[in-house]
Amino acid sequence: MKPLPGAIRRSCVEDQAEGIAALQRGDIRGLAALVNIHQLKALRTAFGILGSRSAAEDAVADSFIKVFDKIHTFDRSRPFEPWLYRLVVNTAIDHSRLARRESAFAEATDEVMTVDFDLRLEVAAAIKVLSPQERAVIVLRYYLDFDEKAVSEILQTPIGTTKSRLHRARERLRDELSQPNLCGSVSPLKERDLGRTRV
Amino acid sequence: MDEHAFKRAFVDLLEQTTPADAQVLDRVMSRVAARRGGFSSRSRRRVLLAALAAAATFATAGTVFAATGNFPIRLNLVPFRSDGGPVTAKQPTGGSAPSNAPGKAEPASTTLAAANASFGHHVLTSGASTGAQLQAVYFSPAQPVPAGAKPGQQPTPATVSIRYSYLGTTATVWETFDPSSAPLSVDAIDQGGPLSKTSLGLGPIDIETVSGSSYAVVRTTAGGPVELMAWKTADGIVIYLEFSSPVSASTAFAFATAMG
Repeated sequence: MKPLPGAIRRSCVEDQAEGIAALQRGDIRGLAALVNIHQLKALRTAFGILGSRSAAEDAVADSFIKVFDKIHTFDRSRPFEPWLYRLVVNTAIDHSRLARRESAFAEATDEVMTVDFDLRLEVAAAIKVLSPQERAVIVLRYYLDFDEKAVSEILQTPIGTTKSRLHRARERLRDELSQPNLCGSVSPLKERDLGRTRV
Repeated sequence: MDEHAFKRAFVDLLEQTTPADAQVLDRVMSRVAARRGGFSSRSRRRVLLAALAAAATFATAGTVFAATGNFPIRLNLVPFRSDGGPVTAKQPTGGSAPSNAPGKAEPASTTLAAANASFGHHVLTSGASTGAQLQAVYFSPAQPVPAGAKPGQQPTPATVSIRYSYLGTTATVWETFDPSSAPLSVDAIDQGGPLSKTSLGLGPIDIETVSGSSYAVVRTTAGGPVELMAWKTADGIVIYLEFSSPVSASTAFAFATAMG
């Protein structure tokens, strides 16, 4: 008479669709399922905008509370991810007003040195100069892989605004990444520039 | 700059700074639980079950008990309210301010003998055959209806709660005494079938009969593992039994039917 393993016990609501349906009928196990499925990606998304792990955790926790509050407005015939990440991104942007800008992305330098450490450091330094709204566009495009149309829908901005914001963010990133790094050496990213699509 | 190299470095930055084991589940669920109950999840669970226990119909002091078997159980269906968000189902009625309400200290652990003496009735315990290990015993004295309480609010009965370690889960038992001869009345939300709240959420509730005795059983899904059971013994003891993680029906009933 051993109890069922936890994974089996919970399997009934671990699927996203079941989680949404459960939450819409008031079962908070549905929320737990949705958090389990999306929390890591949401945390990384929020980190990309806020540049702080603790601030990202705050924003993502707030985002899932909003999911809990608003799930009854979600149309199950539509994809869930854009709806969710709209909440995450907007919450992170709201939180960015409270965050200490100077400490953003400082944690990128705390990690153990790896082969790509320099790359990461440069990208962190470049991202830091962007506004939270520009970071949001970059995260949605390059981390979450949404196309421009989807990004504009998520941010609820005209497609032209999204394109110009993305273009401006790329330009600023290119400017930052073309600067000599702290050691005066050429950016590894520049060295890898083989003439393909430029950011 | 190579767009592909940037994307790879950017994703790497996010992955390295937010490790795969990062999570906010506990924070989110505790905040939701606190909002639903107004206080910590542990307290909320106890208050919820105390409220459920108080949902038993406490009538006047008639004490005619069935000779054998548990009292019948009546599900009191309350409508699901959808106007205030997804979790607005009416809490069980009759739940008066329990002793561990916000701002009040939780009862200190005591001994089984002391709980028996304070309770004034025989405290049912898990049978040794189940292998359940007693972990803690608590006693909360009866609480009168507080000043300014809502109309119809009932006093909180004295409650003994006992926590067991049981087959890899924690089984928590709440016991109150109902002197009436009324069936045990348990509120359930009417939403395409009766649902009842547990600390894990809403689950289908049904009345199941084992060896001629009735038990209200809340499962994770229809026919699925058991989260919560409630019954009223022939001696008028109202028992709520909750498992920290759902168990099979046979495991749940093995515990419930061995209590004595």
